[in-house]
Amino acid sequence: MVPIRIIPRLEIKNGFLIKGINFEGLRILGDPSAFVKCYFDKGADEISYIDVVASLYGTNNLSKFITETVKNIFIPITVGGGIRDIKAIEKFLYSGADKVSINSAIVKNLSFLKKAVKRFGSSTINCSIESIKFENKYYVSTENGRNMTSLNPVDWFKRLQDFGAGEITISSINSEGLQNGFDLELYEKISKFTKIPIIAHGGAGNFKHVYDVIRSSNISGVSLSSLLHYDALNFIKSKTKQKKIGNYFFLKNFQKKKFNNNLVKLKKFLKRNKICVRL
Amino acid sequence: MSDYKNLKIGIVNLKLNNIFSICQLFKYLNLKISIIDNYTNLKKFDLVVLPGDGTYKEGMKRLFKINLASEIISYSKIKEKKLLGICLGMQMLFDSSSEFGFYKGLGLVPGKVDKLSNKNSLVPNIGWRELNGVKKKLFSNFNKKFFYFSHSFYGIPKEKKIITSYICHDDKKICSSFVDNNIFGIQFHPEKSHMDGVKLIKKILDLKV
Repeated sequence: MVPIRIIPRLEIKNGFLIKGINFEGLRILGDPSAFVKCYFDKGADEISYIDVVASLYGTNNLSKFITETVKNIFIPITVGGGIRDIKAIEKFLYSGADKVSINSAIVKNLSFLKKAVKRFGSSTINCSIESIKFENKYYVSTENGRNMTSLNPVDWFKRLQDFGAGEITISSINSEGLQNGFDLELYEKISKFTKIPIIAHGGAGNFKHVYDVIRSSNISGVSLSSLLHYDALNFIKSKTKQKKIGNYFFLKNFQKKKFNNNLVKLKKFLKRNKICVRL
Repeated sequence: MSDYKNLKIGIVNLKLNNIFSICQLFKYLNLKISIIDNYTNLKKFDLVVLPGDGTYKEGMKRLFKINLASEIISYSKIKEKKLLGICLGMQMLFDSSSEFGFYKGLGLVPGKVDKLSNKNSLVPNIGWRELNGVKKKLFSNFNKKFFYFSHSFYGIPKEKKIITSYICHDDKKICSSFVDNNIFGIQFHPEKSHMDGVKLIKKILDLKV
């Protein structure tokens, strides 16, 4: 039996952990290092670290944050956001990443995927598909959901797989941050064709949602943010220095103990329901 | 009290892999490490680590480019020195690989490297897998423990007796580690396997060869 990977996803903007709704409406949650440490201690299988504005602005100063954040964290770290050349991949692997996640640059130029795989091997390259559902049809988007393309996620998935992607994270922009459950139809459709691991992201609001997506499709992991971050805040004394920029409303008014969905409880829940997890 | 703290560790950097993570593990154990990214006389080290993700062809090409292949071979012949190959680094210890063609390896351990089958299992094999059938003192604490794997190819030692653990993939037993005198090969990533990975590295450091 292969255990399902539970992967906390940290979306970073200007060095802060943030949480958006439908990839927009960002609220600040605090210092990412504290969250990473918390998830490592609670038995996360992996951490995914995404700079949400890097691709849009064409910069990525994430590498120095990664180095600080992953100190003494002995689980895999996937880093994404704004990666567009081989040099950037090398830099991230040198700064503490074990895998990189790429979307926009590959949509623009598929041969970049081939080049990256040839150099770093399939298992280092995670491709991300950001799916948008519009008038009942699915489309691939880039720049963190800002640009819609004419590509269909199922066809795009098959192409990425053929070009050597090691694993694929599929995000549903429509479900992201709403906590109303995963888009089960999307994962069912795509995972039928898979020969490589798929990570589902977007929409988990409770343990049952996580169970449902694992049961209904052939995925290898789930990427979670809201579900875990709000609970982690119970344990994390925010060291975040208050700055004038950004939306602190949520953090200021955060009520401790209101959220109670931690990683250990999730894994125990899944295990009770006959899903293989690493505990 | 162990005396591994005085050991000199060299870590080969082929610029293909998560070099930071590997170094971090040894730093966590308060060890002094040197990163080797050019030709270096390896005899000053007690343990040389050959890590790696990336492809076989690139890995071997880079080893030859910095003239390190023959240096590693002669280093490994010194009985009391330890050589540790991790993931691609482990695969490069064998005779050859069929990854994207046919490529010669370092030939330190008889055997070859082949692609994982994907009949019922996904390839690459990414995630946590349980070690089975562990042999030798070094691994005995780790039976049924989870370690992190990330690979599409795997090593097949000719001498089955050197295999110290296996995982199941497509109903087959895949060698996940071996110990051949002073040469250690690990297919999984100890630097990414939570505290069990740290414990395993400590054991390798402590072992008298």
